[in-house]
Amino acid sequence: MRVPYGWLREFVEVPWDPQELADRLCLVGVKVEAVHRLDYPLERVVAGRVTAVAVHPAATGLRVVTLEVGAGSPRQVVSGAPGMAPGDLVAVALPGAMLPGGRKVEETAFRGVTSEGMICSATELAIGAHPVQGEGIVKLPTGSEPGRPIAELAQIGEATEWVLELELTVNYAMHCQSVEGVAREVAALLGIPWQPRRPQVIEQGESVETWAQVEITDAELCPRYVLRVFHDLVPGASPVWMQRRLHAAGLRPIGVVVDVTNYVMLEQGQPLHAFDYHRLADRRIVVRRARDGEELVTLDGVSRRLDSSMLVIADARVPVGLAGIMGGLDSEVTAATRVVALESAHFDPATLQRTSLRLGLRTEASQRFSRWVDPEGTARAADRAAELLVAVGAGRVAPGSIDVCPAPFRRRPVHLRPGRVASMLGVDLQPHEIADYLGRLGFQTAGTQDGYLVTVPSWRADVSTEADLAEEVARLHGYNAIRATLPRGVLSYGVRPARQQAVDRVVEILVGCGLSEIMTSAMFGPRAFDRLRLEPGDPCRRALRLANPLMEEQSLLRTTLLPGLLEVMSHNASHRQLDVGLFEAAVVFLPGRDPEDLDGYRLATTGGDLSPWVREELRLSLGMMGNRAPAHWRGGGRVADFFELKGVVEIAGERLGWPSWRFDPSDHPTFHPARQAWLLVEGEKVGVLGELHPDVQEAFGLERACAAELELARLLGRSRAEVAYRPLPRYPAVLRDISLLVEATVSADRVAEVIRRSAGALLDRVTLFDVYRGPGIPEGTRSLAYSLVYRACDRTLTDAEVDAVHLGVREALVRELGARLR
Amino acid sequence: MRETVERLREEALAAVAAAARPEELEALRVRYLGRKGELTRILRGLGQVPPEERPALGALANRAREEVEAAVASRLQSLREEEAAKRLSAEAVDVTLPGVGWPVGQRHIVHQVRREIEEFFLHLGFSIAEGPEVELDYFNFEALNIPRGHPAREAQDTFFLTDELLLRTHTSPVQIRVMRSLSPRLPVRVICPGRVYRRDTPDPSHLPSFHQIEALAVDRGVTFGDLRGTLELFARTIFGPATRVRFRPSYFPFTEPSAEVDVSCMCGGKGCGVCGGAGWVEILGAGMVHPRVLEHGGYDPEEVSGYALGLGVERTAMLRHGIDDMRLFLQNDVRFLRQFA
Ligand SMILES: [Zn+2]
Repeated sequence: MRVPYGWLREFVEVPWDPQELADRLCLVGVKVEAVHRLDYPLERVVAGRVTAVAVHPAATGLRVVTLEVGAGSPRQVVSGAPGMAPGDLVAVALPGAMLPGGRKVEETAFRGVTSEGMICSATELAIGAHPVQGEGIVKLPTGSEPGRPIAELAQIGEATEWVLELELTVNYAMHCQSVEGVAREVAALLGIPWQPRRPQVIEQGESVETWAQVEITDAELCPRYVLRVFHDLVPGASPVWMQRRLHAAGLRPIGVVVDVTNYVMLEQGQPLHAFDYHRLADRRIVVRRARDGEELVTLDGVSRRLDSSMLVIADARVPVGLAGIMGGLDSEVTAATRVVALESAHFDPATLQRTSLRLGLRTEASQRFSRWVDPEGTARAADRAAELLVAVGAGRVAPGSIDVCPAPFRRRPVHLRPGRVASMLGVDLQPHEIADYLGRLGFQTAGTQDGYLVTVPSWRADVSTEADLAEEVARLHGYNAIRATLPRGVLSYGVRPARQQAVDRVVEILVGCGLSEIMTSAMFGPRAFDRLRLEPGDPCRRALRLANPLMEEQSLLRTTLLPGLLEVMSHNASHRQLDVGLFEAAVVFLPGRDPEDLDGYRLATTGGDLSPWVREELRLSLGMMGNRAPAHWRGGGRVADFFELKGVVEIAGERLGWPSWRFDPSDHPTFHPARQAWLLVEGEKVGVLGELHPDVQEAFGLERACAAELELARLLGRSRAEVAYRPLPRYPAVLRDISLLVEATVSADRVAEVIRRSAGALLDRVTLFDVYRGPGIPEGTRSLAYSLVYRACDRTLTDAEVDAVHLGVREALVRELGARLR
Repeated sequence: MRETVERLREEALAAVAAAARPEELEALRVRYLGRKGELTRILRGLGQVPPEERPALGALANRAREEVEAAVASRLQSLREEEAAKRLSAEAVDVTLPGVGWPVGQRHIVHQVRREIEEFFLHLGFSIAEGPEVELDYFNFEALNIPRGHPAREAQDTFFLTDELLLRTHTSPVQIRVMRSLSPRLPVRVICPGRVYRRDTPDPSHLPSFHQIEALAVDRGVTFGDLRGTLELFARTIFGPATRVRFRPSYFPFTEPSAEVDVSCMCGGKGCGVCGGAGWVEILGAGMVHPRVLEHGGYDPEEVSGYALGLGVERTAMLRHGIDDMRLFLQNDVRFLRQFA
């Protein structure tokens, strides 16, 4: 909604400049998005009558136009505009005139022909591109006296107009979508009484009843319908002042009749529609529901199929308009129209909104009707249109109006307790002050035993409760005048949920390991699964689908964090950020029961647990590539390989105290077939880690990258409060090394397990410190070297004791694993 | 005899002073002070000296001996120091060479800011509550006073899974869930942080998903002034102590009265790209909980009142750090992430 400042000032004395007005409106809730400035050329631009048009003797396409412009006539102007004929009234900029953009008009010669000025187009008059005349010449209405300054014709005293661009919230859109609506707010702000202006209509000819009849068949959808008839129309352009206002408010001037209806809509907020009277069968207007399958070609030339949920304006036979949204093409007002039937009605907002959405058709009218249009403003708006039509000399008005009102609007009173309002706001306001604020906004208050019975004005459909009235009081009092306090009452202690605390601990560890946290989209597309090399039947492919995705590649709710992680690695790799370690702790969405079978209302009243339909599972993704440490003059960093990634998982496991966990070789299609592992906790798979499969790396443009995806919810470990202190060892340890040769197929875990089991309780720690495969040892074997730390918690171990245990370990390795000790 | 002692003393001291290496000093020590050393011999030979001369000569020889001993020790000390100094200076490094790098991680800036905001409310006694991201239409709209056909549904373009199931467009549904689980206990003081979704095409100021934190306080006698006080404190905590707050009337279906809240721009009102010259930037929406929402949550609006506020975490981070493109948050370029270490 765009409100010209000058137009606003016709209705209320504004003591502020446009910017200050904008600020003050913002603070009462009428949000002003921007204040625009429009400059009009006024000096030395006058009306001119074309007396002759001749072809330029030397230049094709140019014409030499002779004009009558009052004093100094006739004048000769060279113009490129086509379609000018003697008798046309145009705007002429005389030498010395300044045009928008600072261009100065001067007397010049075009190929030997002198031009004493220029004929103005829509752009040059700052009324924008004209829809009919395009960028062409603006034609002035009949009666524009040659030589009269355009400033007088336009009735604009100032060369600059300011336009307030409003961004209205839903509730203000119900009563501020008009110049008068905003003026009313300004008046309330200033404490000036608001009185709507009464139009003075000059009527002529046969009374309206002899012209037409109106019938409403559905009072709920159309509680009121007012009709006026305009006859003896003089088609043509509307006056420049009206065109400028329409343009400033964001509408295109079309022709005088339509311009008048639009002008009234902008001024009062009541959309009007003009039908070509002679197109109405039987001179009848019937407001009814459409019949299923009925068709209507609307003004935009589109044929629309209607149904009985929609309201139409029909004549005796067929629909001639979609009520409150758009008229029919057949009954459109044209240059040939001599009589119009003017409609000013009130329609049910919800029905209109539904129809508008169903047909995908939004118009200035539908936007206003689907919010709220003052039901008591219909007659006044029709009168205002009649007044204007006569004033601009565009036709005559038949006496009277038809006003059919099957369901008169009833104002609902609201009970208000001033004490409660004051205490809810936290202000010291006396009852009469509250009543005064409301009175300024047009609410009537009547005293009752415990407060007021407040009558809401017909234009304020957004107000229906005591809380709504409290807001009205607060905004007029000033939100910022309310004293800031802090909540009183019982002290409470803020608690972070245990799960969040646990996730924070994991995150802390990962950050400590040098990984950067990332945040990725929760949506992806089916192609993500292919890029991960998932089999067609992979359970991961079963994902929840959005009914209205932005695009196919964002149509599924993620069931794995890997695609998001790999995208991020890919982005960084393509920007030469190669040494990267990342993680993300986030949810995936796992489908359960068919969501189509869900009964929302029932579920909401029985706890609202959605997990049987959608399980939001907490996951952790890890990714690494390049070097773990940045390159350095002392030598290269460590390559971020499988073991670097595994190391991070192990640190997390140790610090969080996961119960009995280990790694087993795995067969996940996304990873390198021989370099990946399951993470198992208490024997159950809770995740996978590994080097990415070469095909996956290629798909994401990566080299030697590792990744992991773990079920975070099962890896949160114990809380810090559960950690029990263990005394530091008091007796010295005894160290022994073992170096052995085993078949390469014997896993390190298996060796360590044999060592631990055979060493028993005296083994404090076992560390693998060397692994070797290659020349010097038999093919198919590898050499492993362990250091063992023996310790007892209650005494100093003797060499003999340790020797005995250690011998047992050596024998067990030989016996159970066929190891050769070295 | 006396002359011999004198001569030996001088000779020894000169030799010690001239010694360049510890081994030379050791040889001198043996030569003069050793068991068969020249000064030792004189002391041993005192028996052949007439008794009356003995004390004086003995004292003289002893002094000479001590003097030489001290000279040897001090010379040895200084030789060692010189040697150490030479050795250490040979170990010099170029201290301007870069130190060794180390992989350093950090939380995502959005989560850093989220936690900071959470901490603020935790200190005020608010607890944290979480709710599902896939939500019932009922909790996301109906229970928040946004029935079907309500214009506010249009304004928040929603991702639907089915007619009844959607991706939550705000964290407000958690309010309802929390009130229902707590009712009728008082006070209710919770914040609901989490991810929300809007069907917006990504551009510098829109993402299809972002993070919100919603705060809810319900008790007897909670006022609009309390909301103002909470938010003034909040703004000063997050944006700096000089920050001012401005309330503007606005509209949300689930609050009445409703407000949009601006904070004074970092530019101090001089005008900049962030505030567009206005000196104020919008940070959040707030209001008094609508009576119908209290009812849906299981509380009697005649008995209690409450305030609610909701703010965007990304937007807060953008304002505070001058980030001009929201898409950076989801792009996760490490050069961006590492700036907020
Ligand atoms: Zn600024």
